[in-house]
Order: sequence, then C-alpha cells, then structure tokens
Amino acid sequence: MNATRAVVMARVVGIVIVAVVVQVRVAASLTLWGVRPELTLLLALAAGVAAGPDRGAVVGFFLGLAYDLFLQTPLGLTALVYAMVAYAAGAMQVQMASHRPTARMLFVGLGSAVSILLWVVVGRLLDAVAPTPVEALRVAALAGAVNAAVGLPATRLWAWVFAPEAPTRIGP
Amino acid sequence: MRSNRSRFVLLLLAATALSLMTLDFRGFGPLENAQTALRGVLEPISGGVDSALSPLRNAWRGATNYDDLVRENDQLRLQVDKLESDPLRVGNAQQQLDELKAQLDITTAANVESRIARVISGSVSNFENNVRIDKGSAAGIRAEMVVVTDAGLVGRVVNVTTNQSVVALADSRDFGVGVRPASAAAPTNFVLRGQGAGRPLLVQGALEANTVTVGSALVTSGLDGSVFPADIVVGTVTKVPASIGSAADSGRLRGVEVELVVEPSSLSFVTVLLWPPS
Repeated sequence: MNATRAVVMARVVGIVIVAVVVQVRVAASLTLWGVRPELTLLLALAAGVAAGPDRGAVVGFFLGLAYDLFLQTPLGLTALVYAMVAYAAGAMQVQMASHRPTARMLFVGLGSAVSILLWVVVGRLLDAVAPTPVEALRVAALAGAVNAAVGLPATRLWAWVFAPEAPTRIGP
Repeated sequence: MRSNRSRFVLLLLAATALSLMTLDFRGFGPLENAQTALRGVLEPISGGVDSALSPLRNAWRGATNYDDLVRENDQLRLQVDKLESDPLRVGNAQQQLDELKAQLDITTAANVESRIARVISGSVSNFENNVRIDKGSAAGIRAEMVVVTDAGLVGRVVNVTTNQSVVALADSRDFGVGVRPASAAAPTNFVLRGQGAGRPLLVQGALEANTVTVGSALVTSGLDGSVFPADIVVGTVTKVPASIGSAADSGRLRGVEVELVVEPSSLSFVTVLLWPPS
C-alpha cells in the first residue's frame, strides 16, 4: 500500500468511526419533531455523489456496518441499504453529469428519503422493524430535508478525503 | 470495463451483507462475539466523544446551571415516580398481603437483587424504541432481565456489553407482558402488547366483561415461566370499548387500552432486576 492510499484509508476509517459515534451518542438525542438526524446515511450518500459509485458503495457499506453494530436489527441490513443507495446516487450523478450544488443537495436529500423507505421495506421483509407507513414517510421526509440542507459540506468532506488519491468532480 | 468493475464491487458488498444477515439470524456464535468485541472497542471512544460534545449539547438545550438543574430534576422525578405509584401500590396492597400469606416464597420485584443504572441515551435509530443504560455484564446484567423504576415496569434488557446495556421499552411493538388487575377479587390473567413508542398498550385477545374498568391498575401476573416477577405495576386502563356484538364473543371486550405508569421519554435512572428468567 502506498503512502497516498494509506492517507486516504486513514481518513475514511477516522470519518466512519467518528460519524457512527456521533450518530449514536449525540445525534440520537437531538430530535426535530421527533425525528433523529441520519448522519451516517448523509455521509454514505455524499460519498457516492462526491467520489463515484465504486467508492461510494464501499464507504456506504462500512458506514452501515459500523452503525449496524449499535442497532437491534440484523447485522448487515443497514450496510446493504447504504451500499446500494450510495452506489445508485453515484451512478445517477455520473449519468446526469451534473455537478451543480443544487443537484448534489437534491441527490443527497432524495437519496436519504428513498433509502430510509428502502431500509424499512427490507426490514419489514425480514420482520426486523415494523413502523407504520405514515411513520416511515414522516421520518423519510424530515430526514431527507435535513440531509439535503447539509448535503454540500458532506460532499466537500469526501472530496477532501479522496483528493490525495484521485481528483473527484467536486473541489474540497 | 469500469462499469463492470463497479457492478462487481456492488455485488460483492451485497453478497457480504446478505451473508452477515443470514449468519446473524442463525445466531452464529463467532459473529456475535465479534460484534460484542467491536462494541466494546467503540465504547471508550463513544464515551470520550460524548464527554467532549456534552457542553455543546447542554448549550443547545439552553440552560445555565445545567448540572444543578439536572440533579434537581432527577431527584424530583424520582419523587414524582414514587408518588404516582403509591395509589396503585395501596390498591394492590391487600391482595399482595393475602398472596404473600399463602405463598411466602413468591418472587416479587421487592425481593429480587437489583442494580441501579443511569440512562445514557435514548433510541439510536428512528425506528427503535429503547434506551441505553450505563451498566452491563460487569455489573451482572444479562439479556432478558427486567427493568423497572419506583413507579413500575420500564422494559427488558435485550443487548448487553461489558459496561452498557440496551433496554427495549414496554411500549415497543411486539413487547408482551402477562398482567392481572391489581385489585380484582378473582384475578384474571391476560397479556398486554406494545403498539409502538408513545402509544397505549393493547390487551391481546378478548376479555370477559367487567374484568377491568377505566382506571384499573394492572400488575405483572408473575405466573410460572413468566420472565417478569409478580406484582410490578405496569399501567392503568385508559379505554374500555363497548363489548362486541357477535354471538361467539358476546359480552367480551376487545381493544382495551392501557397506559404505562412510567413515562419512557423522561427516564434518568432505572433499576435492573437481577432475576434470570426461568
């Protein structure tokens, strides 16, 4: 492993650990109309948007897996959903070739709402969670709106993380 | 070529996640041990981050003299819990006395060894209904142990690490507890089911008419094989619908709602009963 790759890896690991700890110990106690922020999901999607589908999927997988350690749902459920939505967000961003800030915010916000609903659907199929449809939609809408609002700094963070290895389409 | 590689990466990750889920569902021992070990590694880090960011959080909550207020608030809450439970305890006292006379070796919450723990956070996810406490296996706590306050039932331990535990709250979906009316002359046992955070518990199935009325206090039945010791106050009946009309169910009640005595969102300290389920 060369030095550049090591620097990127160290940054990714550091962000994953800090994000999960902040999600579990801080964000969980800050609610907006009863809905908790989805920081780990925000970062997974932002990684896809900023660094492309490959790196987004890998980062999303490990963010989800680390978050899964603290959840009562089956290990791997969040990792699966985060990897899929980060990949999809990255792939769509490439297809649409739009690097405008509003487009990035839209991808992160809509992606968050869709991935929360996807998580609920998969969780229900596995009989691991059972929120009502109204509850799921309310959480998806609010968390999506919050993540859209803070999507730009998150994409810039990942642009900085991957900058030593390869340029991303977004400046740090 | 690049697109094929991307798809391969995604498939590999999806296959790994599905494998982990399968192993988790099957209760694969080494995976559970690895999970516990990783949580243990992250505990000190999360404690450090929690300490580092607590001033920010406190500022966010907008109070000067925050610590004094929290301490005073905790003491007041304990007093309120005790006062709220007193009428229910009095209502239950005579029957308890009768039962104790008949069965001196009965297990109740009062004669079970316990640990007091501080609630350190609420649910981690938007779709869970639990709290985390600052005591774990090092304090003798194990999964399935019952958690109470002076007021009544809080929930049950579902996950334990060395220094922390996760407690599923009693109003969680699929949470079930066997209860009986505290002051009924001829006790009838039935089961309450949680419906989700902030919602009343529902009586499972139908009840004979006149078994309960609005305001009836319910306590754990503590039948043989129950994971709950007897006589823990659970809640009070808040809604008794009119009896249903079908011939088969004539005179029986469905949809009886019960409100927990404990307010899960305002917990500061709880007591874990070191009573292993049978």
